[in-house]
Order: sequence, then C-alpha cells, then structure tokens
Amino acid sequence: MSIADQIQEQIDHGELPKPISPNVVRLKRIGIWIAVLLAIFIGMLSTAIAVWFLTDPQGLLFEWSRSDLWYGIVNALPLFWVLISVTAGIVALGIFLHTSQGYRYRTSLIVVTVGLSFLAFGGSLYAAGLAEDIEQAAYRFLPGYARIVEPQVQRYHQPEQGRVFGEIRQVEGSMVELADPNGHIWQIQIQRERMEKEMGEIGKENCACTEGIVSTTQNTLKADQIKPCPRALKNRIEAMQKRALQKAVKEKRAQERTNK
Amino acid sequence: MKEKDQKSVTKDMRLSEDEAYSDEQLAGMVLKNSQAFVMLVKRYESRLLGYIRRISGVQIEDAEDILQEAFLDAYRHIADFDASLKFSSWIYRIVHNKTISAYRKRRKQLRDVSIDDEDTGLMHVLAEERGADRETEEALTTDQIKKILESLPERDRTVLVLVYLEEKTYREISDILRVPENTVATWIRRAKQKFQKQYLKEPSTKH
Repeated sequence: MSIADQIQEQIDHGELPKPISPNVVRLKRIGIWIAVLLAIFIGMLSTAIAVWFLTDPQGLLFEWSRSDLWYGIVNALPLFWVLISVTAGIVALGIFLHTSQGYRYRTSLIVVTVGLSFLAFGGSLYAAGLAEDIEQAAYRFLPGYARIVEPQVQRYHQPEQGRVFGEIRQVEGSMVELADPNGHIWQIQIQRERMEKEMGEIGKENCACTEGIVSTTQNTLKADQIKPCPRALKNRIEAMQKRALQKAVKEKRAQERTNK
Repeated sequence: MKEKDQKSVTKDMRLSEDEAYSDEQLAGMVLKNSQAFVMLVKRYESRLLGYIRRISGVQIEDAEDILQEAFLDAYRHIADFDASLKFSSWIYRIVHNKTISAYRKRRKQLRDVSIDDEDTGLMHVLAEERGADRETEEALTTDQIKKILESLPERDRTVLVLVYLEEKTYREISDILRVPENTVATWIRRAKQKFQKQYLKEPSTKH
C-alpha cells in the first residue's frame, strides 16, 4: 500500500489530524515581525543613549579616570548601552533569520544593515536631543538600571576621599555653594583665576564635580579642581536628592516613634 | 484558474489526476479539500523516498515511515506554506529535516547510502573537474559513488545529492536547507573537492 493510499484511507476514516489554522500561522508571522521591529527599536534607543554618553567630553575623558582603572570602568556606563545595542542586534538577527525568507540573506549583510540602522537612527535621535530624555526615562522606568548607575554616582561623591559633586546653588567670590545628592550643602573654595576659567564652562545653576581637601569639621572643601559633571550625574542629582529627603523623613518618623 | 479552484474545492471531493493543477495551486486547496493533498503525495512519494535513501541510506520501510511522518507534518502545517516558494522546495525541506533528525538518532545504522544505476549525476563531478572524457565518467561505478558518498560528511553528501541527483537549482537548495544561495555555492564547491579527493584515495578507482 502506497503512502498516498494510506493517507487516503486516513482521510476516509477521518483520522487525519486537523491542519493548523491559517490565522494561527498569520498571527505567528506577525508576532515574529513585531519581535524583530521591537528589537530594532530597542537597539536604536540604546544606541542613541550610548552616543550621548560617548560624546560627553566629561565622561570617558574625565581627567580623574586616567590613572584609575576601576574609575575608568565605572565611568564606562555607555558600555552598558553598547551591550544592550549589541544584544538587541543579535536578537533582531536571530529572529529575522527565522522569518519565512530571512535565511536568503547573508548573515554579514544583515549584521551590517542592522548596525548601520542603529547608528543612523540612534544618531538621529541623539542629534534631535532626545537621547537625554530616553536615558532619564530608562532611569525612571527600567528595572535595575538605577542600580547600575549608582556605583558611578558613588565614585564621584566620596567626601572622605575629597570628591564631591552636586548642584551649584550660589557663586560668591572664590566660594561655590554646592547641594550634594544627599541634600547637604557644601562650601567649595577655589582659587579665583581657576574659578573664572572653570565656571565659564560649568555655568551657574548647573552641576559640578570637585576634588580637593575636605575639612573634617564642616562641609567645606578646598578644591584643586572643579569641572562640569558628566552627563550621567547631571540627571541624577534631583532624583537622588528627592530620595535622600524621603529617607531622612522616614528616619525622622522612626526616631519619633522610638521616642514615644 | 481561480474560478476553477473555487469550483473544485468542495470538501474532500476527489480530484482527477488529469486536471492540470500546479503543485502550488494544489497546496492552496488543501485546507478546503484534503484530496488535493493526496494528489500532492502521489506526485512526490517516489521522488522523496529516493531522496531519503540517497542522503541517509535507510531501508525502504524506514524511509517510508520517515516520509509518512513528513507528509503528515506537511499536512498539519500546510497553512505555513509560503506561496512565494516552490512547493517542491517546501516539501523537500520538511522531508530533509525529518530525515536528518532520524539520521542523527541512528547514525551508526545509516551509513549505507542508496544509489541507483541511473544516478549518474555525480560522475560529472569528476569529469567536469578533471577535464575527463566519457570513459572516465563511465569508469566510476554506482558502487564507487556509494562508497565515496558514505565517506563524506552529512552536509557535503546532502548538497551533492540535491544538486547532482535531485537536480535542484541553487535557489531551490537554498530554500530546502534554509541558507543563502552563496552559502549553497560554497558548500557545493567544497563538497565537490572532497568528493574528488575521496575518489583519488579510493583504491578501486585508481587507474
């Protein structure tokens, strides 16, 4: 008995399994394309953020990081976004190859196309000034991202090591008043000539990183350097101050409860 | 043709063998009329049985089992058939995958590939490369081809069988194996080189 006859028999006896519905197949195909587009979209966004970080003159090229490997690594926050872009690219490639005709294209061609589209669209988002907003949104909504950012922030704010960063509140003569991420106010002393040179770069009401000798009794720092903050820090201060305030309020309430 | 399709898709109505439906048209009718599938099975049964045996060397009964399973798979997934492909490429792909997974499960038992006397395609591989004449081509017996094919890795054997014995184009092989055409060309070139190398190593083929 031939296979055709056997199948004929199965049809006659109603034993042939039912074919998968065309709607299910269509949905599967749409799902695959949505996944490809989503991966490309994520890749583009993360490329935009990576470009934003990498083009930060105070980021990787920050003077302090030159002699400190760990500092350099921590500073390399853009690497996280580069990693996300690469992962998104690999995912997009992997799914694309599983589309009905994706296999027809050379892998190298797809890799180059995906890479270039990430750079082109990511670069355009950066040029349009949207990269900063995307990064802020990631900080707010991306689970775990805040924890990745935290070590970098910590490295810039180590008063015991003579490093303080924060929002500039006031500039008077050779004195700068800084509000650090914990909401503490710092008086930063700096040579007048140096101040004139650096402050032009930083601008008032902006973020500054300082390094020098900290007074042991009060929040005062005699600064050797004062520089604009890297981009990642500038966007963190407000959120960190808010968190510090919430923490302080909580502690105060707990204290009051204990006293009662 | 569309009208003809509409008329002839009454559920499970038997289709005449003489009706000149293309494979792709039949595949499009399967969801409405299972008989269209039976017709496709009739068209491909012997060809695919030969293909399974050529690439894996299984016994005819095992080949039939693999093929039946592959046909049932094809029937279940018929909605997945991409009309921009040739039906033959699609069904070959399913059969190929089924055969390879069966082959990998029972690798040791499946070394004996099956070549018929009419399978002269591979003799051209040697003739074409060595600039040899018909005499050289004919000097290679089916037994020798079998031996050489058996000694080749699975991928090399598959592409040689597809291009020389199944007479598939590069595009069709690309659709069957789901790799780009350039890759197919590279695989075929390498497989040919290995085939020729094996031919020279084979003691019975030395002149």
